[in-house]
Amino acid sequence: MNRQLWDDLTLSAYVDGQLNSEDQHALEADMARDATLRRQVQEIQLVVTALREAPLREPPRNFLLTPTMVDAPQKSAKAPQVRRTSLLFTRWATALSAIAFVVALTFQLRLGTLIPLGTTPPMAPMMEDTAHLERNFTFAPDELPPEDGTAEAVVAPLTVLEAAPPATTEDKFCSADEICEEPAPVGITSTPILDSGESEGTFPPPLPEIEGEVPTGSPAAAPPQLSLALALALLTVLLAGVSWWLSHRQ
Amino acid sequence: MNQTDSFEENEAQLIQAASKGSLDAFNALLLHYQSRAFNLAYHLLQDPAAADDATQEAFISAYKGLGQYRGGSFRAWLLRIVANACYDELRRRKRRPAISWDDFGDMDEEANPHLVDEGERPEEAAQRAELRRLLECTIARLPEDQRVALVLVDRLGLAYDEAAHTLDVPIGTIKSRLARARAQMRTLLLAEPELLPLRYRLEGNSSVEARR
Repeated sequence: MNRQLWDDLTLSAYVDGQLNSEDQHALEADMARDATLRRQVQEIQLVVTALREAPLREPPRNFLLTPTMVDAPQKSAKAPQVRRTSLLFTRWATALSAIAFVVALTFQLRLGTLIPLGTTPPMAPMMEDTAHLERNFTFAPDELPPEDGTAEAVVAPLTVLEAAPPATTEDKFCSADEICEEPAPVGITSTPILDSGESEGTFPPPLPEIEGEVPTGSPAAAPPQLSLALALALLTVLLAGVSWWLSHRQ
Repeated sequence: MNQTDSFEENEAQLIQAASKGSLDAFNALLLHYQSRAFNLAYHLLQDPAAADDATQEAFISAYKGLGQYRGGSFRAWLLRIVANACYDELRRRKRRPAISWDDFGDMDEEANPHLVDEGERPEEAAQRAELRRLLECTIARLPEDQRVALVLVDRLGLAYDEAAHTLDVPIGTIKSRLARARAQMRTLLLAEPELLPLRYRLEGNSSVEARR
């Protein structure tokens, strides 16, 4: 048999004495004729001898077991699986919530920019109330309060004096806290000034002293921001619930 | 009759006693096989500390699963549990890679004087330790499947069928992996023959050099 046919598998088996007698004799005959093949086998034998004679690495300690070690509950193979699943679904829920948030935010911004120019954007009920009051409390330029910073200038434009004379500056001059706690003068009733038309200035409305019917916003017309926030919150809660259920299903 | 022969005679009795719950009998088995188990774990994990942990965990598992031992080679059964513990650790490492403290320095028995054989002359001990280090470095360069087959058969002295049982592969697979591993070792070691002790060198050019 030609030595080219002796592969590593056969030579390795020969070194271990695993070849059948026929192959063994054939190989030995080839080795007697071929010095290179003989040397090749000798090298494998030397490698194997070195591997078998070299000392093993000494263990750093004895691994003797104690009753405490064998009684302790061993790490379960199932536990990490549950944690990994839980972590996986929590990650998915987080990612989906983040995507939903970005989509909602983008939609909200697009809604703001898509309103055509020249049209009034939809107004929240609270804003409608304020606008109504602002409209009622506009007044004519000749009724504008003097810009001298007196208490009269603060109070007078808000009401129409019907019976009592206006309070003097000396009577009303006090600190800011006192002004807040001061009740309305006796005999003064606050009547909304109806549309004057020509007024250029507005004044912050004193909400508690309004008489008459106060318009309220329609509950059916919910603002889009509220709807989006509500939808986002519901989606997040839904995802969290699904992830919790999936992680505890096992 | 040497110590190994007497142990093999007692092994069946120790296994029987251990399977009835005798921890002392199981520890007697461990004392005999712990060096092989630790070396297998070391060559698989390439990390002494991780090998220590895997060996200990495997021994606890073996004690608790002793009822599943159905006869045959006990060391092959035990080493199979060690190998499985190492593969679990390797999978865990792949998920969460970490740097071991041992990367900063080799935890060798030179650091532990109690583990050095006092009956051996210092120069012999140094040569043997040097040979072991050289072989460990060379073995570490082999692919994992070849490395394990080589360690089981040529380092730990298992027969082909025991190695096949340990790795749960056919004997033919063990033979081919072993042959490739030996050929690779021969190439690597003979590339730098001066690193080998004199008794492991051949005179003249090696066949590896002759083929170049």
